[in-house]
Amino acid sequence: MIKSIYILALLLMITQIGYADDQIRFVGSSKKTVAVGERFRVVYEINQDAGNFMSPNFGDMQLLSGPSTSTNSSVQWINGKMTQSYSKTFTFILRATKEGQNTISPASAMVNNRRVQSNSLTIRVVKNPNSQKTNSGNVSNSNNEGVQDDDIYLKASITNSKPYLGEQILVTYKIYTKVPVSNLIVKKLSSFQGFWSKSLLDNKQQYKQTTEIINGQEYVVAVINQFAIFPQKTGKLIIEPTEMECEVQLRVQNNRKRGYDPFEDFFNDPFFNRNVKNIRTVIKSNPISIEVKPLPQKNKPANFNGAVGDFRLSSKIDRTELKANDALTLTYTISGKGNLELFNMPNIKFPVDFETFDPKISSNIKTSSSGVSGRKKFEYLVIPRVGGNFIINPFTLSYFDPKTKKYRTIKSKVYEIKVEKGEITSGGISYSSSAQEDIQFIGQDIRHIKPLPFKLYTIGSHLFLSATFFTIIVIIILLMTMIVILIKRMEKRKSNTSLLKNRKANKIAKTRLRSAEKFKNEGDDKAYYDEIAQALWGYIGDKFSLKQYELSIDSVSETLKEKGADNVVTETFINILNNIEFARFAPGDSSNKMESIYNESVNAIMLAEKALK
Amino acid sequence: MTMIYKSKYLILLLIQLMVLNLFANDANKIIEKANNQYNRGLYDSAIINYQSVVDSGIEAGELYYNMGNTYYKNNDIASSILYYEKAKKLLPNDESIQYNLNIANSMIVDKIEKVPELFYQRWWSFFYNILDSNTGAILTLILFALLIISIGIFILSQTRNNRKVSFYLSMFLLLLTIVSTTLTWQKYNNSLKHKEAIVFDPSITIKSSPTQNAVDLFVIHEGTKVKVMDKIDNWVEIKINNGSKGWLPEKSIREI
Repeated sequence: MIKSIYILALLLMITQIGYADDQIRFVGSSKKTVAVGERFRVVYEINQDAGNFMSPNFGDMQLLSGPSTSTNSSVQWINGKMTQSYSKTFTFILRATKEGQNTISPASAMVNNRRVQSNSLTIRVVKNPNSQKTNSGNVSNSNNEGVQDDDIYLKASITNSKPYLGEQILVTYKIYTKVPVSNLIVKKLSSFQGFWSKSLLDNKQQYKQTTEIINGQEYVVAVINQFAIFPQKTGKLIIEPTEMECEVQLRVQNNRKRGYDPFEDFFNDPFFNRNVKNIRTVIKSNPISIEVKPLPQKNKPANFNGAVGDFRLSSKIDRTELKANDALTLTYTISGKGNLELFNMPNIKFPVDFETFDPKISSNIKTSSSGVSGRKKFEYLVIPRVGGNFIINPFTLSYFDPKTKKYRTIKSKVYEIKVEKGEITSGGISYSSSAQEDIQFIGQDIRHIKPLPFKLYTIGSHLFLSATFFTIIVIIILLMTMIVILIKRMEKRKSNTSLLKNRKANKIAKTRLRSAEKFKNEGDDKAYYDEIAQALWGYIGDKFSLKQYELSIDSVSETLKEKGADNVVTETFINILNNIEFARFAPGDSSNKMESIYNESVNAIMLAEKALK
Repeated sequence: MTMIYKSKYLILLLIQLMVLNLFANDANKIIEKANNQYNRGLYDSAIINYQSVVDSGIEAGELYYNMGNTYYKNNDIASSILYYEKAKKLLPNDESIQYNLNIANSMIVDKIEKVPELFYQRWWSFFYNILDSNTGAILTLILFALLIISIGIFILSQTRNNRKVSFYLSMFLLLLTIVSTTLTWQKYNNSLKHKEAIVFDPSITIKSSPTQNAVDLFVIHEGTKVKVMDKIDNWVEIKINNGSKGWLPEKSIREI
């Protein structure tokens, strides 16, 4: 019976343990007064297992992190008396941003299907009494809640905030800390948008630490990362901050109330220094704005391809005299400081008869704290296939020197190569010098411009249908018409005179004959015959428009025939003409003959006159 | 009355010639300068100088050719084609112009197969391409003068034989004059009406009618030569070499 009572009592006790503290305590706590910019914690503690925690409204205060949850339960037996405690905490880290009274609304949580609410908190935010830096020592002593901005910070610095396009600048990230730091993790690296970047430090490098005194405070400084960056576009570029996370060890006071801080509960064991508290914190570097200047356009070399820095160019050839089909090696080395990796293969035009292969490119680029430097080597293997003297044109490299702000062009050497005729190999690689080759076209380009002089016209001037055009046509027509009219008129006049003569021919002949009769009566034989001859010749001349010198027996008979006179007429005419000539040079038997000739002449003229009408 | 008009014309002509001569002297200097700039690779300045000559109202086939070269070197293929075409219009027989035009044309996006021409079209275009407008006009004048002379001979000749020969000669010359006049007239008309153009937009969609929301027919690109068929408001109807027709906004082409 007693046993059963014990058991009952025990059971009761156990259930009592289960509901040992039926009273639900849900308490929010925080500092009552904070300074602007100060980080502080707000802790909600509940003594039951709670779920569905609803964060309060923090008003003007900035929530940096949280809620982070931790639970703590303990069962203690002291002198046979068991005490059991359970607590669950929700921790927020806030930062005060504005002066004034701030009220944090109650948080709520579900406990045993019941929603419970915590108290609301009132926090007074006061002005920061001193500048952050001077009171920082103070803060670390008096205020253990968070990490102050100047306890640890990340600083990004650049060597040149106004670089030229493509100029190498260095970005250095340094961490400054007054407090011990561990577990540095890079959370977010700066993205170098608009830059070509190269890290100068190996990732797994031990950070070198130095100490620096800033504002009278001793800081441990370590270079976290360093980059050489080359701006790829002009204008304002911003390098976004790098974020790092680390654990910071802060000294804490011993007389803290227990149970507020989940971390404290966690770290409060003999292995940890009770005076030290580890806080994870995120540090951010400052953003950097860079004004990238464009490269000057003035005197920009034609073959400039964006190289900025300080470069040297050297070239080496292993031999300049060789036989055809032997190989030679030509090496160009570009060295210096700048974006060497962006250099492309030099565009070297070898003679067409050279067989070339793609160059072997080797680069030896050093990254050091002074930036990217090194050399890039292009090794060409060239095999001349025919004999002769060749020139390998130099390779020119143009770059912009940001120090002197001028473009520079460097040229490699010109190589003259003497190639002797090689032996004809059995492999048939050699081109026999007697074999003809087609002309090889190496390039294609437009033809050159036309030089002066050439004829210039006013735009839109056309000879066709212009005033000049019509004027010329009119002139041509007028000229031709005038010529035609003139010629016509002359012809007409000419024909008029011959017509007149024609008409008068009979009359003249008659007058002549009459005067001849006079000479006959006077007995002047010679004059008589002359006059008759004159009459007849003159008649024909006038009638047929013949000139004096054209007159002869033949021409007369021809002309008469042509004019359509019949043979009788022609013969009569020729006869009388012959008779007259005969009589003129053989006078005698005068009066009778004279009379007959006179009659015949009159007869002939009459006949002709009839026939030619 | 007519005499007065004639003398007025003559004076005007003389003044025009003198002014042109004055311009030409200046223009020659500028062209010389631009040629030098071209030789030194200063293509931008060369273009400005050549353009200033053209703006002053002077043209020459050689000048347009040089401009085409400069634009080509400046990687402005569409402009270079435009000026080569302009040059070709003034100097249709120049081999260098044709050569450079072919090179420039090989660099544009569109490759349009030309519809083969019928034999008489080929002949016509052969004759058409032999002469430029001014040479055609001079040829026409010479043929006309010969025609008039042969008509004169026909009128004056008295023998039957002469008349016959001069008649046939006149007929033949009349035919030649008509052909030459027609060719020249066509050239003249074409140069006045700008019947061809070059596309200047990088890519332009040809529409079925002169509105923005018409059906898209096909796409042509920068540097393509088109024939201008019609104009309505700010739209032109074009025909490309393969015979396809469509409408595009006027601002996307430049007339040759």
